[in-house]
Amino acid sequence: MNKNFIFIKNNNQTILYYISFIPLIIYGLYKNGYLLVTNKYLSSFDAYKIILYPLVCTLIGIIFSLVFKKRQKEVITYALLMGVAAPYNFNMYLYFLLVFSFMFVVSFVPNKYKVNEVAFLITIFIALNYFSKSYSIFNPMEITNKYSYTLVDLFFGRGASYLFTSSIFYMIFSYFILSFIKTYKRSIPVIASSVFIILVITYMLITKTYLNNIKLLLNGTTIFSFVYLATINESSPSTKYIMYIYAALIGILSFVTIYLFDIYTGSIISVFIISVIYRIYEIIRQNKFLKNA
Amino acid sequence: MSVENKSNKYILKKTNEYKYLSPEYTYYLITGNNTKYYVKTKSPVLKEQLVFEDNNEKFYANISGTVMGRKIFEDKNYLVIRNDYHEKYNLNKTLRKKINKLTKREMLDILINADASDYSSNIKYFVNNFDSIDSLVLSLLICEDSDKIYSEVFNKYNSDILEIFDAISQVFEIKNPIIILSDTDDNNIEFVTNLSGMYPDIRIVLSHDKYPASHPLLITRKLNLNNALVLTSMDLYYLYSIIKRNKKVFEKTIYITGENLEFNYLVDTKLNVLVKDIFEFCNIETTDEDILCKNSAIKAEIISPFDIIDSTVDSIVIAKKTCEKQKECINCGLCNKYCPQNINPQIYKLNKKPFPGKCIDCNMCSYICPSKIRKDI
Repeated sequence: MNKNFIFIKNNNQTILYYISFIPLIIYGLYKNGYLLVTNKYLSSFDAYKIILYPLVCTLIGIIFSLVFKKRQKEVITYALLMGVAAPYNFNMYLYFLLVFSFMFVVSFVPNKYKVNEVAFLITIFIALNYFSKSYSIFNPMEITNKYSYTLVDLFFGRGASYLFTSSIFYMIFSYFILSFIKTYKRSIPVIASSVFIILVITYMLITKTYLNNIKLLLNGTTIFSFVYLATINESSPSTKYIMYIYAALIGILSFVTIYLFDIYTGSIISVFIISVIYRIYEIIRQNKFLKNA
Repeated sequence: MSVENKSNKYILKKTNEYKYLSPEYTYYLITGNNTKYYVKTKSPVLKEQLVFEDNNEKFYANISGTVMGRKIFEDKNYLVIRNDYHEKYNLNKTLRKKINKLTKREMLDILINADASDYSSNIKYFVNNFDSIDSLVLSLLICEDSDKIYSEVFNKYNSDILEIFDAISQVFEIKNPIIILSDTDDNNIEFVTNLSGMYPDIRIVLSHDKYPASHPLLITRKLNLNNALVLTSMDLYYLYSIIKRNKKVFEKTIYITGENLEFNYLVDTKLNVLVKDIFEFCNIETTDEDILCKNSAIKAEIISPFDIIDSTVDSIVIAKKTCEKQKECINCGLCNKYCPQNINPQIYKLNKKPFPGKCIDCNMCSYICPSKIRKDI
């Protein structure tokens, strides 16, 4: 008997995923483009070049999805995320080359061994920068005046971060859009950020260092890694309770790594580390099941 | 977690009623296992006359007419009887009165003599395990459009169904007879509540009706029942015909629905007629793109236009064939999230063996999967 020809309709909601980036990209263009031009830090042409990051990276994703014809939507999404989370002071062409090379290498890795690709790439950049000090994520205005943000600025996203990831205000709006996607794991950002906020507030009350800790809470990169990176389907758990543990671990590790490294890299490193741990757990679990079968 | 599978378009659609009670031909499936014939080709048969035995199952003519011989459709062998439109009965039987005064043994004998177990698996379970059943649940939940048949049949034969439900509960000393209805099924809620005084032992429960809430296991779990049997209004219609009307079931009501149909169809039909013949009678046109699903679009058990309407076919859903191929699993976890049994179907595939007694085969995981992965392939 033939079975299962019927599937639920309207489950292709990938377009919503791309729409969720629009507020981030508009704000990124404003902060890293318009403001720099009006304050005469850059020429108009140089400032608006940053829109090339998401566009070219998406193009790279489309090329790979067409060539390899595997996980097409996911590959494009990862590439777009790599473009969105690019550092400001880095050679643009070199960045594209690195993204291309990274995606090329990763496309040969079997699914079974895949970790969070986007967090992995950014962690490689962080590691490279740790040794070479070759770039910083601050734009020219932030380099000259980088600690001048007020709390109101920080709340509305006018803090330093990657190209399009600085605004927590818009990030919450993006999360609202993403939560309409059926396949989006909406509990991960909620749990991870709740754990992170509770730990930071507790630490803040114990140490009584309010201002720096509030800056940690209002940092866009942390929320970006919870909303976009931690929720990548392939490298996050699919069962309810393991998903909760995964999210809580990301929240805890982000709290630790943020103090160990800095607020712009800690949460991304923690997403990468937890995705590696999850992959190891998943391999062990699958081997166990195959043995029992 | 459950899913809403009803579009307003379906609910607002008009239902047309048809009667296909005098078909030109009726068809009886022959499997060829120990087949013993009681009639010859070209010989006349009366209604309710034993025609043949196949695989220890007895087949009775449901029309009077002439035996036309055997015919093969899509590798299936059928014995064909042509209608003479006279409806000549083999025996004249009378209506039984006061069925709730029958003894347990008498009622059981009636069911066994009428081969009631052949009509549905629920009746078969009841006949074999009546002593261990504490609760009897009549489910009228409408979780998908095809489930509307149970509500429609109840709406049509409500007093008969309640009479037999009450009688069975009394005769077999069922402690807990319950009717569970969708909280949106206004017509039946009104009727059942109006009659609740006549049947004080029957408990009425309203429930949400999101798929797969109508699954027997989920109903018994929701109502916190042990040793319960969930019956449909169709099962009780069969039991009413056998016990009260004192005759075999040769007619039934089926429901035909589909996204592209202008109307829904409620058809009173003879059993053992071809699906194709009913469609021709009701002017329902299908294309090669369409598939016919038996009883549930989500479970998607496909039937062919050359299959016959037997007692297991309650509704037919005409759906468009999806040509999309299975893609790689994206690990979204929807299958696990929507599984009423909390099984992770990814493990199901990996393990390559079913969870014994755990998977209820509701097919929700395959239905919800964005990568179009089928559980059983």
